[in-house]
Amino acid sequence: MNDLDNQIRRAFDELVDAAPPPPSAPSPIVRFTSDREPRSTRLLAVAASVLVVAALGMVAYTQRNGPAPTISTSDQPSSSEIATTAPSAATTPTAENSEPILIREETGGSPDPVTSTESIASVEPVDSNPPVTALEPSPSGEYQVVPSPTFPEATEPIPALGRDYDGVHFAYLHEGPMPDGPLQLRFDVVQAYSGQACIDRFGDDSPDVCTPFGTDVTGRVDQLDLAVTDIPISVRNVASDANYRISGTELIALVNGSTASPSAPDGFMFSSGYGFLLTFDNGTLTGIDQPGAPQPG
Amino acid sequence: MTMTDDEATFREHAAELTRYAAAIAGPTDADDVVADAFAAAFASSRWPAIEDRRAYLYQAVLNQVRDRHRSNSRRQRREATTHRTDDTSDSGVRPEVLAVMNALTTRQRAVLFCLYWLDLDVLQTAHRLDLSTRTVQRESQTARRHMKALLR
Repeated sequence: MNDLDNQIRRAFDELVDAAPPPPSAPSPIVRFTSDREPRSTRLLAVAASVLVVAALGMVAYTQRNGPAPTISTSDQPSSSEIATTAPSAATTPTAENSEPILIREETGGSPDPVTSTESIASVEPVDSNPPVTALEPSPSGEYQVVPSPTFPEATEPIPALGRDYDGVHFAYLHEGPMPDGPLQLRFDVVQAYSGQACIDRFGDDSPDVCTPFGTDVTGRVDQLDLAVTDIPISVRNVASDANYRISGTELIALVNGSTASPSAPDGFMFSSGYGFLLTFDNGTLTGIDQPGAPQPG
Repeated sequence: MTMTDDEATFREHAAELTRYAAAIAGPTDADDVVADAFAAAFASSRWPAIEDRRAYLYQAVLNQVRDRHRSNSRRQRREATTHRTDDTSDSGVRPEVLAVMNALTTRQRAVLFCLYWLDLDVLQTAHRLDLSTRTVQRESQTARRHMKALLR
């Protein structure tokens, strides 16, 4: 622990000591309880609600003034039928969607719940994707446990122009746009070091750099668009530190923030932040594995 | 997910997140930031399926701080010229500490807070803030260089 480290800690101590008391609980929220309904489905449900209101208005109109001439034909259901059937479209499963379309749940007793979609959209984290979690376990299919890859003391350097990638390289998933090609991912390849090789490479000025491995982000970075089909892929379960075999399709789904397939183990959590070991054989990608923390010594 | 669960989550993490918010946004705004972050999380359609709610809330706080900085250009200009000492005149934090912290980006402050105050390692910090380990390492190195120069 050097003087700079101590000064950083003291600065945070000072800020944290000055922290105010925690806020009171936020105002009660009206929110959608289903986490898998797309916006279009919610809008459909809202539209159905509007139809219900319109139908109820029609009932009142009919009771006061008799049938409205524009819709009162023999082939159409009566306004009372509309009024009784329309709500079920918004609150009960349909043939196409076995889950409730929209359930609004009061989460407290405040008279001023948050209801606007603008409020919801503006406060949801937009540039971060928390780890994806599996909803249910399954013993078969993908997600067979495989040995975690060994992190080398130094991955292969980025080859010179015109040379093929060969051996084990390290790469992070590209943080910008992905390639348009089917089943392709974009990687930023850097050279990585672990153990003593990392300390030799980066020195000990910043001990965090080599925990658990250091990447030469100030050196060459190469961008590769790689098809991830028909190659063995293993990803790391953040929750258990085990590696699991998955398909390229599943990897792309996880990268895009989709829920892991039902065959994922209970509690499976994926994070692309660990980077990937890309194995090449004379220019041909032969494997993708997420590394765990290298073992000391 | 019931209201009871949300309340329990709030009670469990509110104090910790307020300290975190104080470290990256300054003590004055910390409670507002945390309240907004919880409201955002509870309103999110993804919230019931989130496994690691603590990490999610850390990311929500970080996003709230960024949003505040982005959405208030007048305040940003004032911070750029005064190092936000006016924000903290009643906070008890020394102006030189705030000057150093304000030389860092919000993300750099968040990374350093996780590494130095929470004693998380790089992988844990990357997971907590949903960053790549490369980003954590890069932000940590850059922030340390800035702080080293300012604290000389």
